Amino acid sequence: MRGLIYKEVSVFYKSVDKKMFVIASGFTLLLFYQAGAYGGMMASVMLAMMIGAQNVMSFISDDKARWQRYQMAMPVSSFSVVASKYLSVLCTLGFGIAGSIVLNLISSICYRSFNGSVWGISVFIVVWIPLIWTGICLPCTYWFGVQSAQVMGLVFVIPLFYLVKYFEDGIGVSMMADSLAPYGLAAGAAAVVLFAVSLAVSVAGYARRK
Amino acid sequence: MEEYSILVEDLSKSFGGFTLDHISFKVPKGRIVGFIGENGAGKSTTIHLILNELKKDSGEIKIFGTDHTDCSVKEQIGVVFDECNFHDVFTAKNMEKILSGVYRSWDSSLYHQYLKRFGLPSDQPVGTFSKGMKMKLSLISALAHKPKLLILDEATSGLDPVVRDEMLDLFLEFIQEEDHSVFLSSHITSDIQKVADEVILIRQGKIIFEQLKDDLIYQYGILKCGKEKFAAVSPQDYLIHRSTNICEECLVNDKEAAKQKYPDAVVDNAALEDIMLFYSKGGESCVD
Amino acid sequence: MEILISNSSDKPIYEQICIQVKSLIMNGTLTAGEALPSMRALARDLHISVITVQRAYEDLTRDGFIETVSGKGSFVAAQNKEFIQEEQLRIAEELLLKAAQIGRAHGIAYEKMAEILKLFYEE
Repeated sequence: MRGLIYKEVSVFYKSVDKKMFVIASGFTLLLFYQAGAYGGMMASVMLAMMIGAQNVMSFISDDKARWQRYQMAMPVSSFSVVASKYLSVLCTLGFGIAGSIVLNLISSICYRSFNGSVWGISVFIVVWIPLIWTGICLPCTYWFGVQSAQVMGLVFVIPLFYLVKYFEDGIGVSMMADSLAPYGLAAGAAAVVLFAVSLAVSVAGYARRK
Repeated sequence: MEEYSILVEDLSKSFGGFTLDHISFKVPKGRIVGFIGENGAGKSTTIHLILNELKKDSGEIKIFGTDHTDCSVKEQIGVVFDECNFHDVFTAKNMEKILSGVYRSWDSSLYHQYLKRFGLPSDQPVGTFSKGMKMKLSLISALAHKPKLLILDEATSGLDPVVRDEMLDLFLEFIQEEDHSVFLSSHITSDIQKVADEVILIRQGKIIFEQLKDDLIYQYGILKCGKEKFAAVSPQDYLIHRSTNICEECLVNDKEAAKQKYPDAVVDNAALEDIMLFYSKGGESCVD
Repeated sequence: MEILISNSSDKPIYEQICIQVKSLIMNGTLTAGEALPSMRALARDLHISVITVQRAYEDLTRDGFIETVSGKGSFVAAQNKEFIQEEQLRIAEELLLKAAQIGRAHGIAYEKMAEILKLFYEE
């Protein structure tokens, strides 16, 4: 199974679409400028969504190489195949956490403000969003294919943007951090449970492909 | 002790417009078995069923005596498909990291030996390889985990004669161990004719024959005669007959007997391709 | 062991191997007790099926030219004079048959043929 985990993580970072990366970076810079001291946190949201999406996009590389049929000839159970993917998602969270720390560092230095709770929330977001994103989209991939997962991804992004907009227009980004904090534990637990249930659903989807 | 590496009994599968109809065959240990047939005859479907990539409707498939659904039996199988299934971004070194983490009996020094032997770079992405290089890498990757059974699904299609010959050589080397076998599906009948010990012909989801290659090549023949002379040819002496504009042609399974009985007719040697064409293009068949 | 296979010959490959090994044994290139390559190794070197080589080795064993020891391989059998003579007689018979066929087909008298054979013997 470790071979497959290595493969998933490698595909994750080797198949990053250069164009998307440039667009996302541009967006991030915009957010930085707009959100001021909270730039790091907003950028973490962007980063979180990119990581969530990229974990799903890697299936496109698999399809292109027709890797699935080769994998089916390997001595690995359906559970191992799917679990490797899910474990690799957990590995990619590492990229997210590192990225978030860097972004917040830049933000803190630029605007000369260090807010511990902003940092904390950024790291939480960069772990939570990908977990939810992949938790919802991966079973779609295993049951219905990558296209369906991409559609799901979009469906997930829209409410997220509205949420951010709501806080931006309304009480402001600074309050967003504080008002969301109490829900942290519940949200975290929900993400973990979703991830676990998602794994089970995905295994069923993968095993039924025959 | 199990003498067959693959044992298929009464296997059936229906889907779309195609049915694999209660097929049975065996791949003995120590042999290279060629699996031939036209496109769409059911070769790939059969292989996917053996590998449990498709679920069978009915029948039994055993690999080294174990049911094929037991995924641990795949440790002993090396598979090569008609295309290299590695991502373009991966290098041979990446593939080693992946595969050594999947197969318990991965032999790293053997892998590198093969890479060197075929001049494959270990640090270049597979996307930059030519088709021949990609297929060689696929075959090497299948061999490096020391399987006992090699299954190849049209693995030599689209390759130039030099690369095909190198691959056929590898199969002959692989067979040096008495408990190793090769199951090779191909529509390039000349490859099968070169190295196979036995040949299985499949057509429209049914097994037409399962024969020793030597019997096919040395005993089968093509009897050609004029239209009038054909009237004198007894239906018991041939398997399949077809008419051309110029003459009548019959596939016979005992060309020496045919030569003696019909001295006026031409009796040609039959290559595997000729035999396959006779069965595929049809004509009236005579059950012997 | 040098074996030359012809793909365009009428004779099946296993027969060609059989004949060539026999002549190598009879002309002394392969000596009694010498080991033959394993069936699989020969098949690999000649790029042919193992079964073909197996058949050739079986024929050679049947005709008494080689002995196969299970687990060890195949070895040239000890030859005795009568045995070799028998094999050579068989070859000579085949050649005489060809000569007879030519003679009959072209109206050459038997006496003429016998005369020629006598001449060769006395050379």
